[in-house]
Amino acid sequence: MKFLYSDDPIIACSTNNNSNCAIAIIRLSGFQDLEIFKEFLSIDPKSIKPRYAHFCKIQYQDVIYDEVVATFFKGPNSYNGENILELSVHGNTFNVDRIISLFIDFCGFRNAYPGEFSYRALKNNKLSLSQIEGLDLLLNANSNFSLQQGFSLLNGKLQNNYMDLQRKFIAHKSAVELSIDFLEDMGEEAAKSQFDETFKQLFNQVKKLKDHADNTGLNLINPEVTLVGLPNAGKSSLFNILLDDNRAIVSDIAGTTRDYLAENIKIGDVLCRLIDTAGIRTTDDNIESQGIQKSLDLLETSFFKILLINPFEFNIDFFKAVKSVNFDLIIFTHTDNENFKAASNTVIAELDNINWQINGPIEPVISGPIGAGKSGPIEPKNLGPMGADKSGPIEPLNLGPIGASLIDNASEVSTFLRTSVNNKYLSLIQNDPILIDRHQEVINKLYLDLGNFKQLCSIESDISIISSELNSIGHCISELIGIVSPDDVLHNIFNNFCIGK
Amino acid sequence: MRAMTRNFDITIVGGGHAGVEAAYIASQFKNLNIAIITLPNVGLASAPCNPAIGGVGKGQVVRELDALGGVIGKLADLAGIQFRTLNDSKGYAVHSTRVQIDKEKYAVFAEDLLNKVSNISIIKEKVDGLTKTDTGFEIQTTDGAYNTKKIIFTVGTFLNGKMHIGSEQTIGGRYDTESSNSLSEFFKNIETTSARFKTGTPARLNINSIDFSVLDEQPSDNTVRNFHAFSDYNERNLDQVSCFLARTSPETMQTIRDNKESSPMYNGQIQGVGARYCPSIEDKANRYPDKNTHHVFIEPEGLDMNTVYPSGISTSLPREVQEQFIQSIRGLENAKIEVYGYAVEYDVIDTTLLNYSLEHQEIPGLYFAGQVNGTSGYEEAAAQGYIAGVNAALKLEGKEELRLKRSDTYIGVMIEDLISNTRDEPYRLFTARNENRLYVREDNAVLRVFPYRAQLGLNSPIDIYNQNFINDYENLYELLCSYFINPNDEFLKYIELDVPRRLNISEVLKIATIDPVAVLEKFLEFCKINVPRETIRCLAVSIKYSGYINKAEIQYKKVGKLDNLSINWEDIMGSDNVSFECKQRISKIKPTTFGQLKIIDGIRPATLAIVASRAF
Repeated sequence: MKFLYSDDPIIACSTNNNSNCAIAIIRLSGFQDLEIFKEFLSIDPKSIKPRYAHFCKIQYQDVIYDEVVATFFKGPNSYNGENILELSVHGNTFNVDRIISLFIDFCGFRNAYPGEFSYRALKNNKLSLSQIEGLDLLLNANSNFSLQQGFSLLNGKLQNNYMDLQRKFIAHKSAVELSIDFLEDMGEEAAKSQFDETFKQLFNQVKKLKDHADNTGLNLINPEVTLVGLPNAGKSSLFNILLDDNRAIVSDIAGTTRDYLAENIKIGDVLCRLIDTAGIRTTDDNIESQGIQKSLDLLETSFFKILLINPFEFNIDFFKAVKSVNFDLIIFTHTDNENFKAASNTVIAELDNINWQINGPIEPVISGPIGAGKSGPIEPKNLGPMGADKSGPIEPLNLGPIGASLIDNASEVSTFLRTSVNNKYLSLIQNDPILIDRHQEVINKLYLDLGNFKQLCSIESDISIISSELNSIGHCISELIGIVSPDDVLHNIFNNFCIGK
Repeated sequence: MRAMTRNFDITIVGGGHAGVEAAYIASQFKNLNIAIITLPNVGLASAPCNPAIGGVGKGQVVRELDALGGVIGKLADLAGIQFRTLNDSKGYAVHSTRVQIDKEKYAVFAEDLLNKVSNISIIKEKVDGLTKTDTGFEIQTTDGAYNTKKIIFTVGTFLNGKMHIGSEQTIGGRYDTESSNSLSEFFKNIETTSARFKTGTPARLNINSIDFSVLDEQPSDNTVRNFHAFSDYNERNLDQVSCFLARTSPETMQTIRDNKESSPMYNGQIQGVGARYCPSIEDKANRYPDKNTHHVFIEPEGLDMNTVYPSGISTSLPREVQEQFIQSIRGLENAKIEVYGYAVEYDVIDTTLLNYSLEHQEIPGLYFAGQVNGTSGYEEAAAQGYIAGVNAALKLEGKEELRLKRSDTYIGVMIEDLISNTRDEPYRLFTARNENRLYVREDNAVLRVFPYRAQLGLNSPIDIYNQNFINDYENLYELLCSYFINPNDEFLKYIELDVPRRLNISEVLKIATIDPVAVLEKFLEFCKINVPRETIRCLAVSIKYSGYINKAEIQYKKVGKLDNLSINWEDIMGSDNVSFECKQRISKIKPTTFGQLKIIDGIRPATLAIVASRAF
C-alpha cells in the first residue's frame, strides 16, 4: 500500500502491437465524460450510445488519423467500473502508436501501466483478488488446463466454489452469533443443531477445495523439465535432442555449460520450460559453485527431473548431494563404451552403499521398462520411482552414448521423454488441481485450522473462545474472497432467522 | 408577567434514559448548573417498552456505565424485581445480566435521585421554541425562557412522531403523552436520515386475567450479582417475582395472516423502517409462513401494577384483531387488554454529522443522544446520554474530550458505529459487533473503563472504589503467579484435581475442564485470604482467557494495525488522487483515525491506499 496511486484517465493498446495486423483495439479508461472527445471524433460524443458500435473518424485540427469503430462502456457497467471507450483501429503498429500519442499529448490521457485496467477493476470491486489471479492465468496460460482454470477462477466453477465457501462461512459464523446474541429467541437446541449443520457444510466445502489443492509443490503453471548430472554426463546433448536445435554449446570438455540454459518447448498441449543445469560438482571455482547451488534450487520446484549418469566419470559426493531429490527419470549414458556394463555395475554398487533409494510420492510415470526387447543403441528406461519395496539394485541401461555422433537416433529418445513428461502432466491434472500457489497455501491452512477447530469444539463449551478461533479462520478465508464483516454476519442473521421480541 | 430568564450551563431536553444519564454525569462537575426539561405528567426514565434493563451486550454497557460513574445500574438494582444471567451456559465472556424492573418505582427512584442533586434543576414544562444566541441557546417553554451554553436533545421518538393502531393515526411519540412538535422550525436546519424509523410495542394485559398455571415459570436468580458498585453483591431491594413463557399457536398466526390488509405495516400506511432484530408479530407471521410457534415472555411491569408486558408480540393491528390473536394463546384465553399495542414512526438525526462527543459538527454546543439518533434500547440511550453529558461538561471546563475506544468498550463500539455510518435500520448493540469479545466482558468492566473515569479527575466514591478494585486485582494476581503447588498439594485434594507437575495457581486456572471462578474462590477460602467476590471473578476469568486474548490481539494487530493511526481528513480533501465521491463522504464524517475511515460506507481501497501511504 506504500504507493501513491493516480486516478488519471489511461490509454493502452489492448491487442498485440508488436506486428502489423488488420485490427488493433485501443482502450481509453477513467475519463469523466465523453465530451472530452469532442475535438477528436468525427461524430458528436453526445450521440454515442453505450454498448453500440459507432463507425467514425479520429481527427484533430483538420488532420484525419484513422477510420475506426468506437464502442462506449459507461461506468459502473464496464469491465473495470470506469467509463471506457474502445476504438477498433487499423492494426498497423505505427498507426496505433500515432493514435495513442494523440490522446496522450492533447487529450489528457497517460499510458496505462501493465495490468492497470484490471487493477482498477479490483479497486472498484468489479473483480476480487482471486478473479484477478484467474485473469492473469488466463492471459498467460501455457496449457489448455491453465487456460481453463483461468476462466474457472474469473467467472466459473472455481470462483463459485470460493463464493460458496464464503457463504458457508457466514452461515456458520451466524450460527455462532445466533447462539450468543439470540439464544433466548432461538432456544438452545435449535441453536446447537444450527451450529452443527452449518459446520458440516463449511467443512465439506473446505474438504472439497482441499481435494483440489493437494499441493505437490510442483509448478504446474510453468512446468519445468530439468536436466542434472555431473559435467560431461550428456545433459546438453539431451537438451539439444529435445529441442532439435543446437542451442547449448556441446563439447567433450567437462563443464562447458557454466550456468543453466532454458528454452520453451511444447510437450503435448503444455508449454514447458526445458532447463539444462550447470554440471553439479565439488569445485573451488566460486562462479561454478554458485551455479551448482542454483541447480539444486531449480530442482526443488521442477515438474520433471531427469538425472543423467556417465558411469565413467562418477563422483560419489555428487550423488550424496542429490540423494534426497525425487528424480522422475534416470538415464545412463555412454553405453557405447565397451566397458559400459562393468562401469555401470560399479556405479550401482556404490549407490547401494549410500542407500540410494529411488522412490517418492509420485506415481510411476511409466510402468515397466520400455522397449525391453528392442535392439538399438538408444534404449532409455525409466528407473524410478520404484515402489518402496524395490530399493535396488538399479538395472543398468543400454542407453547409447548421446552425443553429436548419434543424433540420428535422437527422435526415439525425444519421443520417449515427451511421452513421459506428458503422461505425468496428465496424471497430475486429472484431479483438477488448483494451480495458484497462494490459493493452495490458503486452502491447506484452512483445512488444517478447521480440523483443529473441530477438535476444539468437541472439548470447549465456551462459545466466545470458539467464536474467537473461528475469527482466525475468517481471516484465512478473506484471503481468498474478501473480508467478512460483523455487519455481513448480522445481515445474514436478520434476513434468515426469525429472532427478536 | 414572565419570570426572569434563568441561565444554565447545560440543558437537557428530554427526561428519558439518555437525558437522566446526561444530567447525572454532567452534575458531577460541581461548578456547572444543569437543567433537565421534560414534559409535565411524565415520569423520568420511564420504560415505554420492555420493562427490563440489561441483556446480551447491554448488561456489559450497564456495567461500563456504572464504573464510569453513571446511574442506570444503580436505578436497575433499586427497582429490580427479577434477575437473570443470560448465556449462563455459554462461557464467561458472554454472560450478560438482565433485570426486570418495576417501571413505576424505577421512575420514582430516578426522580428522587436527581432531585437530591443540588446543581440539577428538573423543569417540567413543554418546550415551545429554541433560538441560537451568541453564547449558546435560548429555550422558550410554555412557562418561561432559559439561556444555556450547551443543549442536549434526548427526545426519543418525538421528532415528527406519529402513532398507529389499525387505521387510526395520532401525532406524537408515545401513548398518553403530549406531543412536542413545536421545535420543527429549529429542526428544519438539521439533517435527518432520508428514511423514517418505526418501532412498536405490544398490548399490555391485565395480570389477573392470565392463567399462569399453564405457562412455564422463570424465577429470579438470587445468585446474580447486582449492577451497581455499592449495591450488596446479590441482596435485592424489592421483592422478587417471576416471568412466564407462553407460545403462539397456529391459530394465533393464522389470525394475523388473515388480517394482513388491516395491518398498517402491510397496507402501506407505515413507511418507516423497523429493526429486523425486533420484528412485530405481523412480520413474524408473514415473513416466516412456516413457523407458528413463537415465544411470548410474560413480564411483570411492577409490583403494584395490574399489567404485564407480553414480550414478542408487538403490533399495530386494529384493536379487535389484537384481542382475537392474543386470546388464541394458551394461558391468555381470557386476557383483558389494558392498553393496546401501537407502532410509532419518527425522524432520526443523521448521526454521521455528529462527532465523538455526539455534538453536531455544524452547530457547536448542540448534542444529540438516545433514540433520536436511531438506536433502540434504554442502555444504548443511557450510554449516549453519558457521552454527550460528560463531553459537554468537559468542554465547558476546558478539558480534553472523553473518547472510549472500540477495542475496550461496547460504548466505544456503538459511538464509532453511529458517527461513521448512516443507519438504515434502528441500531442495537450485539456482542457480534465487537471484535474483541473475549476482553470486553461484564466481569472486568472496572478494569476496562477505570482509566477513562480517572481522566475526569473527579475523585468521588466511585473513583476510590475503582482504585481499590485495581489494587486488589493486581495484588492478587501477583500472589497467584508466585504461589506454586505440587501434584500432591493439600489444596488439590481439597478440590479433587490432578495436575501433572508443579504449577502456579494462575496456570491451574487455565485448565480447560475446570471452572476458574469456583477454583479460585476455593483456593482463597483454603488460604483464608479475603478478597471481594467481584475481584476474584474478574481475575479468574481474565486468567482463563489470557492466552486467547493475546492470540486474537496479535491477529487483530496484523489485520488492523493501521486502525489507531491518526489521520487528518482535511489533507485528504486536498488530494487530487481521491475521487469526488470519497471526498464527499469523508467531508461529511470527518474521520480522525484510519480505522474510522475504513468503516465508512463506500470508501474505495485506492483512497485507503493513499491515506495509508501518507500516514507512514
